[in-house]
Amino acid sequence: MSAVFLHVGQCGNQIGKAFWKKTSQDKAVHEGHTFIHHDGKQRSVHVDSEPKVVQKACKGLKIRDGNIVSGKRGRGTNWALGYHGLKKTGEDHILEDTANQVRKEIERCDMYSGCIMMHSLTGGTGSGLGSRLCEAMREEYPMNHLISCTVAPCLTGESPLQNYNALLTLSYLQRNTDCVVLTYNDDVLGKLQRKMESVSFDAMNTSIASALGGVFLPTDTMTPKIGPSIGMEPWEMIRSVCPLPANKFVQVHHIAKRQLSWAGLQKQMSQGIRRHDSKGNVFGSIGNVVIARGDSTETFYPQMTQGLEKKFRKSFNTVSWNPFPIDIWTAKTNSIGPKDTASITVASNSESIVEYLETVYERSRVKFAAKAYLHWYNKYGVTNEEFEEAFDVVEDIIQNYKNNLDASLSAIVEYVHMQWFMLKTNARVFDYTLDNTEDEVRVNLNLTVKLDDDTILYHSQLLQDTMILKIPCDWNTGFYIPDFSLQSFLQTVSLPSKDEMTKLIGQKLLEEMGIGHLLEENPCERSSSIYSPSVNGWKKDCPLGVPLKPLSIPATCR
Amino acid sequence: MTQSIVVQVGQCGNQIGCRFWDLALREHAAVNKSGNYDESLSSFFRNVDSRYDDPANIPMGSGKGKIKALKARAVLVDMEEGVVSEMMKGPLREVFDFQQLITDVSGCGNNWAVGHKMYGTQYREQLSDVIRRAAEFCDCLQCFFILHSMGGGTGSGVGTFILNLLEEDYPDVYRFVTAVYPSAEDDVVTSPYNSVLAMHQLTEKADCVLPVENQALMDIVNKIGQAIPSARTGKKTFFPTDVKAGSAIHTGDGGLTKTSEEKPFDSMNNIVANLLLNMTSSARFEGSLNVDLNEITMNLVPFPKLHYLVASQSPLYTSADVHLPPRKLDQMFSDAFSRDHQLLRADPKHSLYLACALMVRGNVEISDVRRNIERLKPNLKFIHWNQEGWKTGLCAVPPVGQSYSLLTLANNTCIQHSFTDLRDRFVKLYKRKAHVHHYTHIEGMEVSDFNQSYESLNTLIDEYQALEKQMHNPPPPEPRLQILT
Repeated sequence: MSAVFLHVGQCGNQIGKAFWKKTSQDKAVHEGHTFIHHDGKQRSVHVDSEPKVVQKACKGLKIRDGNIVSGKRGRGTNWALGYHGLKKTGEDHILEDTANQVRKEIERCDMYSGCIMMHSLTGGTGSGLGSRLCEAMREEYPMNHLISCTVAPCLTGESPLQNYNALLTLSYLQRNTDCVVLTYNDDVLGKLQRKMESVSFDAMNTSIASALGGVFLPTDTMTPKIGPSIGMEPWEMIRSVCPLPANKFVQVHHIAKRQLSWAGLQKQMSQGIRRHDSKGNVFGSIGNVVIARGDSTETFYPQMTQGLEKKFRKSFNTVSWNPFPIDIWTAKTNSIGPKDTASITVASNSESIVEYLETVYERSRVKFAAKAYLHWYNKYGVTNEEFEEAFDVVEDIIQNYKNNLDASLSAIVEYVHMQWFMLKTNARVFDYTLDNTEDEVRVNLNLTVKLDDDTILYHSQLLQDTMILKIPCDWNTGFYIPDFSLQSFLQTVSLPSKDEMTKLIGQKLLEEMGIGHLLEENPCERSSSIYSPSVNGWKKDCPLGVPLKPLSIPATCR
Repeated sequence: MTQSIVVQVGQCGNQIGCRFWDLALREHAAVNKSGNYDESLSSFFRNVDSRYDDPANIPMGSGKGKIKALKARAVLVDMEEGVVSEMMKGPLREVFDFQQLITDVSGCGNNWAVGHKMYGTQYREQLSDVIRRAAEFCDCLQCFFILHSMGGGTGSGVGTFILNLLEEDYPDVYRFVTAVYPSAEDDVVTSPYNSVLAMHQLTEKADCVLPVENQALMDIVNKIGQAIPSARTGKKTFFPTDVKAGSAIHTGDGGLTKTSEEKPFDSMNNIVANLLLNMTSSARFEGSLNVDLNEITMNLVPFPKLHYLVASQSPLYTSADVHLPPRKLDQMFSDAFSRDHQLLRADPKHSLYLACALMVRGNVEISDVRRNIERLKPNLKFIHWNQEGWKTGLCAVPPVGQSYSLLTLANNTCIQHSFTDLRDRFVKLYKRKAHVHHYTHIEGMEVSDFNQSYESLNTLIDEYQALEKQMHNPPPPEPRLQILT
């Protein structure tokens, strides 16, 4: 399950350098050949629009000849120039060359799983060319994964064009990738400034690379009992943290310390992360992976079951509808961090992204309304309509995340009969009734402003007998039939009695429970490689995503 | 790596150019110890085999070849012979290519029309050829730097004519103009005419203009002079105060010219030359946060015509004390925003910023830059739609003799005051139509040229004023679209 890495722009290449330095220290990576080819060369392609940075950043790395692609001139922090390139000067070859080198690198893989791209959210090359490459990769390899690791600039300003570029890039990443690992420069800088007085770019890049390495480098959990690592980590991460296709933004938190218990590391980490926005709303998270690396990882599982997991759940405020909001991986050696340390890395798909997206949206909105800088984008081929589209996409992302926050909140609403809120002056402002019926909750909500002496200043009914569907099931309790016996079940469906559950019995059981018709027939057996050079490159019979039938009747459990 | 061509026009342009090439050579010499012709040298210089009459270019190859003879990527234009021929006798004569030189004998008589309409048309072919020759030597031409004054005839007239020519022939190559504006006490009576006529062209055709005022430069020179009392009178390397020798940004001594022979304008020209060096440093040398030249225009110019950038540099000299406490570093940032470090007599701090670039060179970390942005931001006013309007650059190579330096380029509404002053001086003359006949008798020059230029300047001032009005009361945000439910 090999991965191909794509480093785009100054930021992508500088982080790439730090990442590969870490990677080459990991033994399992060399044994598994998932990131590094059998001949010791990295499975990576490095692109920049000017030669200066990429040449320096690639010094000392084992990169195959030809896998460094560079143009002649920068892209001026302009997404449009990065995306469309300089048509007249014959520099289009950057895109072509990169696509070619990536293809060649993919052909060198025994089994190609997907691409991991590192780039900045706002640089001209990283954002514009990065978006273009994302699109190309999705078009060319629709069945394979695509992860983007991107870095957001400081909010106080690294470039006046940063929010325009971020807006456009985010819309392309949302459309074309499976998962976006977003790192904020502000966070990294803040974290490092607590440790040292002056922070260099190298230190920042190393910090980001450590966090990424914490997720992507081989773990014991994902390594088969026999044989070397098969490099499932990046793709398993997508499965664990992105249960919903529209919510694909992931943040990685990483901490490495010497001589500290797992509980201690957990505590330090939860102190270091932002858990609520400026208004005090706690961020919910949809899915998380906790990765522990270090000597004493055999104690990690037991500790997790004995309460550590609950702490993680609390600090990441996991949604109630996800039955397994926290996945746990371990690795015996911590090859990323400083020597003799243990590390915890958490990849978390959380609503904290909304705040940044809203900033990007609003700041580019005002700039767009003032028509500032638009001539530079129009000049290089981005129209105002494309901006509007990008606005829509980003707004949708925000809405999607907010909807999930609401879902998690409503799950903890307790059904109370009659309540009201009071102001300081003893004026009743809101009163509401909730009627708890079997399937629904009937809500009445009034807004009344009333003084102490019962004079009503204002009254209005906001909701009248509004029915809200109840959350159908509680995942935590599971689904079970209290007095079920396999023997008696087999008798009722007149099947020969057996002690074990066969496939047939299983299907019969599902049918009897009334959910058999909702499930797709055994979707696909994937015992062989999905790549077959004879059939047009791909086996068509075995699709990756199995479509589920739409529900014909409402699924409820009472 | 991209290349740039410097087009120096008129007496002022050529004098600045001369200082620029001198300093550029010294800067590269300080960095490039191996003597190889590498990419950073190639941005402003060609490596030639000068044994031939028409020196052949030696290709850069892997950047390991030795320097044979460096030729500046420069085009020298003057309508009188004095300055250019002096340069060709001076120590820099080897650097210039005699085939990239255009001179006349009679000068422009401080008349924009003579430069633009008469000489421009007359030398059109020749200018075009010479520039094409320089452009053909480039592998990837990105920028033209045009250096000229606004008050004289040749600089403003021929300079802006070349600007037009470049826009026609090389529409995709950026045009940066460094324009020296006359002081109010300028001795050329027609300088307001020349400046306004030239500004019309700059507003329409340039990508980026760096206006510099003679008076502001003079003030800076005097300020440094106070810190180094005996530098000009005493022996050339002796500094009794704690200022490090050779570090002041106006010093020109370093082997090629001697302080005692330094001409009065040289110090001022050095400041402008340093501006160009600092601005291009990130494009020439390595750094952890590169700023290419096209980034400057793209990030700092929100509306096509508002491309006038106020520049300031600090430190003006370095203390000989080798210990560099962080306070010194913070002082550098504060200084760059103070009124008396601007290369134009203007006060950006009390006006509205549209955008601002911080180009840092030398031993400065990103956290230092961020800290100073946080520190300075509360005192600066940015337009409401560009609250994050900072562009930052970090170049690893400091200027010669300094351990770090900062160049700020600000798109700020304070520049309108300089323009308004200029307009007033123009109106004073134009009301009486004084000297207008000296212009209109040149073929191709019409009175309408005056009116159009005047209108253009008015519009520009109005635009800046309209923006400045938004300083205290930004328009209410547009209501966001809501999804109907």
